[in-house]
Amino acid sequence: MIFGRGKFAKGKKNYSAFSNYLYVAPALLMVLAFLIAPIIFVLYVSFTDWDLLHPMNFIGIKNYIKIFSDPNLLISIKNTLIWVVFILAIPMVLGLILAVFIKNVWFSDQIKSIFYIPLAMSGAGIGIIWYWIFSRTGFLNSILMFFGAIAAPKSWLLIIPQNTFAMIAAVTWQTTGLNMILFLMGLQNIPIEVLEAAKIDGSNEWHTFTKIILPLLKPITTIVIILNIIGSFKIFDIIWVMTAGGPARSSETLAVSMYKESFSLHRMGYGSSIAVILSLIIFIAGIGYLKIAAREK
Amino acid sequence: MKDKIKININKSILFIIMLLLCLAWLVPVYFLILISFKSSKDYASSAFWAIPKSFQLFNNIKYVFIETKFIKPFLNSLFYAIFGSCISIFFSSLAGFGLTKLKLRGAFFIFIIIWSGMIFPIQIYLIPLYKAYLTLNLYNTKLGMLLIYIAITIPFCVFVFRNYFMSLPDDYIEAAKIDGCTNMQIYFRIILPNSFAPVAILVLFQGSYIWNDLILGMVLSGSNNVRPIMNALSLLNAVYTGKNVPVIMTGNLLSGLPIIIAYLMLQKYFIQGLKIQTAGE
Repeated sequence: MIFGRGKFAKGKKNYSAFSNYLYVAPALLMVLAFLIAPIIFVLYVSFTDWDLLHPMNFIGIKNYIKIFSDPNLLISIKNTLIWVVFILAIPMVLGLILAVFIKNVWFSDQIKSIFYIPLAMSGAGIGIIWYWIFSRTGFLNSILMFFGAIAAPKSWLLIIPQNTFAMIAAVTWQTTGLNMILFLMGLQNIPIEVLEAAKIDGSNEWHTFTKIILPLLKPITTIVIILNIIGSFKIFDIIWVMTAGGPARSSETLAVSMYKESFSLHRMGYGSSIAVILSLIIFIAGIGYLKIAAREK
Repeated sequence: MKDKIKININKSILFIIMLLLCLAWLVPVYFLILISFKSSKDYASSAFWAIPKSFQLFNNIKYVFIETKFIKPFLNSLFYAIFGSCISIFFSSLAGFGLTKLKLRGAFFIFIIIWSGMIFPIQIYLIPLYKAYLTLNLYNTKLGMLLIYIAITIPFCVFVFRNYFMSLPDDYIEAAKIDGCTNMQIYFRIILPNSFAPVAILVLFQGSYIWNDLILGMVLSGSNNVRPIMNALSLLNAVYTGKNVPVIMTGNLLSGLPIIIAYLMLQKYFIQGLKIQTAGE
């Protein structure tokens, strides 16, 4: 259940005493002070040239125009789109395939929990493991040299665009299990009779998968696609630990650019406008998610 | 008979593919543990996958905790994760109770305000929080970190409690009211004792969210006495790269351990939390 008004909200007019608002007050005040007020402030700052040291000057929408003409940010936007495409193409599709086929395999519960391991780990921790897998002395170089594929070790995280794909590999390792969980939830809703009827009618596995399972999974697939889009815009920890957006700001995404412009370069006004754009994208995707989720229920 | 053999062959091929994928999935964990066992000389001189020549894990742990002062952020985050999630859960369950059972005017509107804290990316809060923390002398204080961790986890907690309390029948509450119970007594005697499942899910889930946070620590803390663990880990990686890789991996292993242990013990609640967060179920 996503929303739905409480039983008492509708119909009855005998609302309660003011003192009952005290139950809601701590949570509401914390949210207002720490989460709502900042949004209003950041909207204001995004129209200024604030740099922490000097007083803010109102400069209109200059920051927003700059985002779409600043070479660093254009690279960042391009990278963010690459991330979205590959996060949809690799961990999501892999999660779907695993979810569909895992029930036909021996030890499926044990296999599932192996794919769930990364869900208990932090982005920073995962990033560090993969940083060393792709480092000069790391696993990838060792194995490639062992098979004679390369003569000398390479610094994969310093080569464009290989570094972005190295980080996508790390995120694939992190999120495939989560995608699998979501698709398994969708599969639970497919009645077993449908699949058995298909079997009796002589449908082979591939046919069952493409013609019966996939269309029935469409509602959850839409939701998972939106969640993955939102997720790829939010990725920060793994990128920060593995390349910090480098070399020379070449592997930044919007989430990383926002941090860099604000807290490394102290362009608070500009950083705010990037944060606003990023939030707007995620907000729109989030509304889409809610609409679809509400319709499905 | 023929069909059965064919199905078994298919099943075997599928099983082998799955096993290979599982192996690929275990490789990073294997290296995490393997490198933590090595000495820095051993790591530099032998192959990446070589078995450690001597057992150095305890020396590495000692080095990480004492020499690099990793113990401090470790304890800081333990404090943030336990107190942050518990206080947040207490506030949120009170709010959830108020929103569903106390006939508040505008309850749905209040809920939407609180819930809106769930949809925006964390980047939107960073600059205002940084500025406000500098002004209010909360920057680089344990109290400041604890407060933001409480606030950032409240929306999801309220969301979960509201859904859960709406499914609790009102009959008990009506009966308790007739018997003369105050709202406070109803909350402590009826609502809270019946909320084990959501509380367990949220302690685990929000505790690990706080434990795993990197960016709030980067923006709002500046010294080892306040810094949360993931921030310290990322600095450890930056400082010891090229010097002592096993120390980095040991730090990584230690910083992952509390959540992995909790996860192994309570996997059911963990997965439940993920499902609620991602799919709202």
